[in-house]
Amino acid sequence: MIFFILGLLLIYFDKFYFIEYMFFFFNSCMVLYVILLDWMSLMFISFVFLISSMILLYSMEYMNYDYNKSRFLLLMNFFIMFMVFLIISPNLISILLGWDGLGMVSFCLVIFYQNKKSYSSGLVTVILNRLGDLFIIMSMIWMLNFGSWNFILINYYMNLNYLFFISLMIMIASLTKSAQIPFSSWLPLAMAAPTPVSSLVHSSTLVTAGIYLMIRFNEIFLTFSFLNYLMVISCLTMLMSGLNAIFEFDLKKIIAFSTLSQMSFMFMILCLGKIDMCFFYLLMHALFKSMMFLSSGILILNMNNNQDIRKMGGLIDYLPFCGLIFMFTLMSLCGFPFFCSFYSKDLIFEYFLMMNLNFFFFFFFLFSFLLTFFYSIRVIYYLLMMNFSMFNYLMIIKFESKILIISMMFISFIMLFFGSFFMWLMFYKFDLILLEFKFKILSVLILFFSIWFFFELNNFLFSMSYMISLFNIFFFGLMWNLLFFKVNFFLNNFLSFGFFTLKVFEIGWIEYNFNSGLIFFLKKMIGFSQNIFLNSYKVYILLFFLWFLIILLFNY
Amino acid sequence: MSYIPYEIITHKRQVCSLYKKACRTVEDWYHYRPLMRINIVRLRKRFDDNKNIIDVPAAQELLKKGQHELWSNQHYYPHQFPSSPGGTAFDRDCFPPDWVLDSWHPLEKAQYPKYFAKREERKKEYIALWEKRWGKPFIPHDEH
Repeated sequence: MIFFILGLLLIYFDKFYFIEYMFFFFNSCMVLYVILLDWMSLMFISFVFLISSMILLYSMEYMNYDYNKSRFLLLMNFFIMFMVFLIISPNLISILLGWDGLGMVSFCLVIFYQNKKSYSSGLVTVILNRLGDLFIIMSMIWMLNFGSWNFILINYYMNLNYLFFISLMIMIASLTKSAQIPFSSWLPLAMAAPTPVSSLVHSSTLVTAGIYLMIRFNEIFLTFSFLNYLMVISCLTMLMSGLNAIFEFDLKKIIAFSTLSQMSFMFMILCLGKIDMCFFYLLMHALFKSMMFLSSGILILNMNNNQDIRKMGGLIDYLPFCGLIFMFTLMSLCGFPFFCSFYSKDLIFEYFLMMNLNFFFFFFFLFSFLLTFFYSIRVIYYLLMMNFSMFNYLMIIKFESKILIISMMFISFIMLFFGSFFMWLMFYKFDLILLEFKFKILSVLILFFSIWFFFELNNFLFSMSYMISLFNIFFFGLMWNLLFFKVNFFLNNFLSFGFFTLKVFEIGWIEYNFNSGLIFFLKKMIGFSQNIFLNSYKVYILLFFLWFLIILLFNY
Repeated sequence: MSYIPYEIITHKRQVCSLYKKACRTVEDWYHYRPLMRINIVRLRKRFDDNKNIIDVPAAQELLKKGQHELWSNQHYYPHQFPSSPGGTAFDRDCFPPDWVLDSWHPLEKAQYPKYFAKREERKKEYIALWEKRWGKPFIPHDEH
């Protein structure tokens, strides 16, 4: 709350504070820890603290029967700490501290349940995150050319053409963290973590770190031409995740795919240059996504750990509060009027329509909007509207305890009523939007079309296996075959390559012939030459005889 | 595929398991429950039609055809029960076995002196109990 009020003050006075804390001073070398406090970081910190406190309250009840409760709480606190490190630092080294810590702790949290499945998915998560760290380290090395790691200073004082490599590296790093298309396989796999963790990861901490970094570096990015490529990547990710969410049956994975599509949506806005809107949508997304995960956690707990939405159904009779909040979050994901994300999403939508982009972007944007509506309607249908399956009558425990409800109540209250409040706070300069009537009403049209589309196609798509050829369904259902980034991929390629090199180079014939063989050969040769240099008479006599032979042979 | 069959499965059991797997696949594909039920009934009808075939090669041919049909209609995301192998909550709580405590470092053991002293006593008691019940274990001593 304090951070929020401070952030408001800083918006009002349009200032930012730059605090340098000196660790020690040695040989005219200062070791500094720099803290940047502006309205953006303070607002983000306040949101992170709000959501994480509610999630900790929730997990006190949710993880009550777990055996490693204290470890869980400790790891969560570490996670939040590293996120705060990342948010407040303008310095690339201290960003790396937070960035790396997030990757490590996320690994520990994904493998919290110590079975094989979560271990393999945790490995994928940590390897792809390390890839991002690598790119950050590379950009740090390139920054040595400029004499400072404080990118904010560099933003202002350097010629931007020198910064191409830095921005490329940081773009790739944020792509890995926000799970855009070549690196997107870890995000649904990280669903092996307990539900409060995935709530924290997907709403405000891990995946938003990439976008936050991009927002921080915006002044470099917006000048370069590879924004077009970034936009194509985000478009494809949006399409891929939307299609996958339609074909997916795991409840948590569907929500993960929706996070992925919203992330790429934010990237798209960033590429269009609307940084404020991107940030605003980031915050709103954090609110409703955390709520979505928390309510799905209660659903899963009540279904006795079953996450398959085919086996749920008719839950509105059993868990009315939780189902209601789940429906609200899905509605605000779609941008339903007067919910929190309506104010950002609708604004962005209208800006996008005003932008005069080409047909490719326009089509994909609208199509992924449709897909967003489509999968949220699908989840509502499967969870709340579909008639019962026997499974939940057998399994239901009906567990909605007070702490769970209180922890969800607070954020959902903000989510429902405070969207306009935040919008008036952030956008005090109004922009004029001029649109035709049909464009203005386009989003509503898409909504109705997707509802019709869903009920029309439901039986067709999900029931009739003969209508769509199997290959296509496998292709869409398994993430466009991007899941080859699994553990098997690393095992089959890299580790077997390592074994091959060990077999051939280290203990094989190459070692025998070249490395130790070479030493053996050199030893022999050196001994021989040493014998020559000993000035013994036999050598001279030998040379004499050789010379004599040559004379005899060639002296005709 | 070369593998050693460790069990001979009878024809009847193969047909039954084929029927069960087919039912599960139908459940995966059809989520609207009446639709699912009627498809399972149709499936049952197909099985019942060929119930009384006495000709063994023909029956085996039918079984093979059925298995191929099952394979070609498999679901891309089959439902797995959460606490059975392959499910999400399988092996969720893992308990380290008791002998892990024996592999602790002496320094670590020294932090809980009382417990480990008692543990040594208990181990001796257990060995005595075991030997009383089963006799001394046969340890082949090295003659070379």
